[in-house]
Amino acid sequence: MLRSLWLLFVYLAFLGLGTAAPFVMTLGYVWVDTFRPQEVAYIVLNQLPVALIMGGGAILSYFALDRRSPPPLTMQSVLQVMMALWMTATLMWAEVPIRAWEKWDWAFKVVLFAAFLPLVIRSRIQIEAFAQVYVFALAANFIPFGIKVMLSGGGYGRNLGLIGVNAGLGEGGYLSTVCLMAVPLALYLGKHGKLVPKLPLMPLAYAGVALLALITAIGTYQRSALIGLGVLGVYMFMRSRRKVLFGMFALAAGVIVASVAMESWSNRGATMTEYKTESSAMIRVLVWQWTLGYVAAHPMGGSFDSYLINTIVIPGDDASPGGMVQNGRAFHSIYFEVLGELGIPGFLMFVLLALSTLVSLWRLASKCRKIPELAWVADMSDAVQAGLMVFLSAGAFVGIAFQPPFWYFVSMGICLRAYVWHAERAEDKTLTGWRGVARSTPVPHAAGWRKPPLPLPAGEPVTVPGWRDASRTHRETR
Amino acid sequence: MLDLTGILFSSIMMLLVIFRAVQLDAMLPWFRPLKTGTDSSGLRLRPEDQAPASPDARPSGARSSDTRSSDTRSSDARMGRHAARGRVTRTR
Repeated sequence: MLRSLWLLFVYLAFLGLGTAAPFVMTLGYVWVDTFRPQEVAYIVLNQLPVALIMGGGAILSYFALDRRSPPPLTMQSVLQVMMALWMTATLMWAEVPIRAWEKWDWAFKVVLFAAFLPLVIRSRIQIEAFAQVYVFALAANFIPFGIKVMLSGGGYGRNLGLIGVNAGLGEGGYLSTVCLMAVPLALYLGKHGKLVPKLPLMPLAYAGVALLALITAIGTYQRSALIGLGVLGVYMFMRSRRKVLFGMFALAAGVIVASVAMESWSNRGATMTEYKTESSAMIRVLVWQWTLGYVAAHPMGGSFDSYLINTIVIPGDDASPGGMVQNGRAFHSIYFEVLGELGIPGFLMFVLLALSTLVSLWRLASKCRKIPELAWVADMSDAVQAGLMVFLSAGAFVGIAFQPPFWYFVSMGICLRAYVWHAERAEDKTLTGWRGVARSTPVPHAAGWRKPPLPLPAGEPVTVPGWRDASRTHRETR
Repeated sequence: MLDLTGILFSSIMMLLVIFRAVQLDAMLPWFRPLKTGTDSSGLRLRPEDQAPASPDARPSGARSSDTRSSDTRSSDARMGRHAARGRVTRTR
């Protein structure tokens, strides 16, 4: 009861503040989409279309009140919209129309809202608020989960989170992946956060949040988490400026984890190499083989949940010499999920979106690292890249392609690029007359908006005394 | 109990962040022009952000300890000419 009332208060706070600042309603939708209060509350919120109200409010308030400084059009935004259109088109040849329609209903909203986000999230404050809301919306799940793992040791298939069912954040594979994605973002917020009080222990508090996310991921005992953890470690090590310190910390953390959960983890981890004798892994490989065959025959895919038509024949072993036949086994991989559901065009769009986002973030980080004012952009680009790398590696074994995290991270990348684009041109409006001529002085790599000139004129016009004053000053200083 | 703790902690922090974001977003400019940089990226400091190498550095736009490339210096000289007319925006 108390929980439900509190969540209702938070929901109403988002709506109320959203009337004063339209971007808050967009953040409210991010919170609703990530935390899903309607699945946690017992009264009121569980009976209302909370996402519809918040999403509708966000879109309406943006178009009515807040359309200034739109971001430049990027390939990622175009691909997001194309994905939304293409997934709608595939409904026409859906293998299982009713189920396809059900999944389309939420997947379409996720993708389209992610494409909408960069329109609203433009300033540094808004970008940070977006990251903060996302991390804290997840933290509501992984803080209790992480503490319970520390108390009980966790376990494979043990649902210790807020969501009681084996779906969404209640599903171990998804939870572990999003927790690992949140780790670099939480560390970034601890370092560069402007929206929290500047207390000496604040970075440590965010490090604690990141640690709980890490413990949650480990406590799920998902094999995909092990892969994601490895990729996250390697990637953060590569991007770290204090490699020795980071290496020592990672080594210490590894030793602690190994001493606490080594036996259980080694049992789980060993099944990755013994896939022929481990039915879960074996079935995945067979489903992936089926998907490749299906797409060869149906290059346009079978729309959402097309896996329901598959029939998997599992070869016999000592336990069951006759083998087994299973129907409707899920893809268990973002790549095969997209390939089987959206076909080759959808797969190409998805891969292109992921790769182009990574490349653009890499370039953005390299560019902004040289500019002290944009150091936060460089660090956030690194954090988003690390999160995406975790998703693309751990997600290879979990079917979460249309869940919000990937799409939100892509949107964060677009927001960052758009911010730098605006910052580079922030002074253009004030340049008139000869200043405009001086501004157009040829600069290397200054062709078009895709490659904006980084060496930009300074911010505020400098007031320099006229020549009489200048000469007087000159004389006086002598 | 732990679940409630997690919900309370995260939502209180989130509301704190949102309140602050609404305040700061209204107060601060959204996009601040870039004003600093390094030699390698080609950016230069604004005069008021620089420690002038000599007292007469600002009015003339050319510094006595200038070690920058010739094109930058010629740009500074141009700025110096513009400075004589009044307000100057330092550009390349």
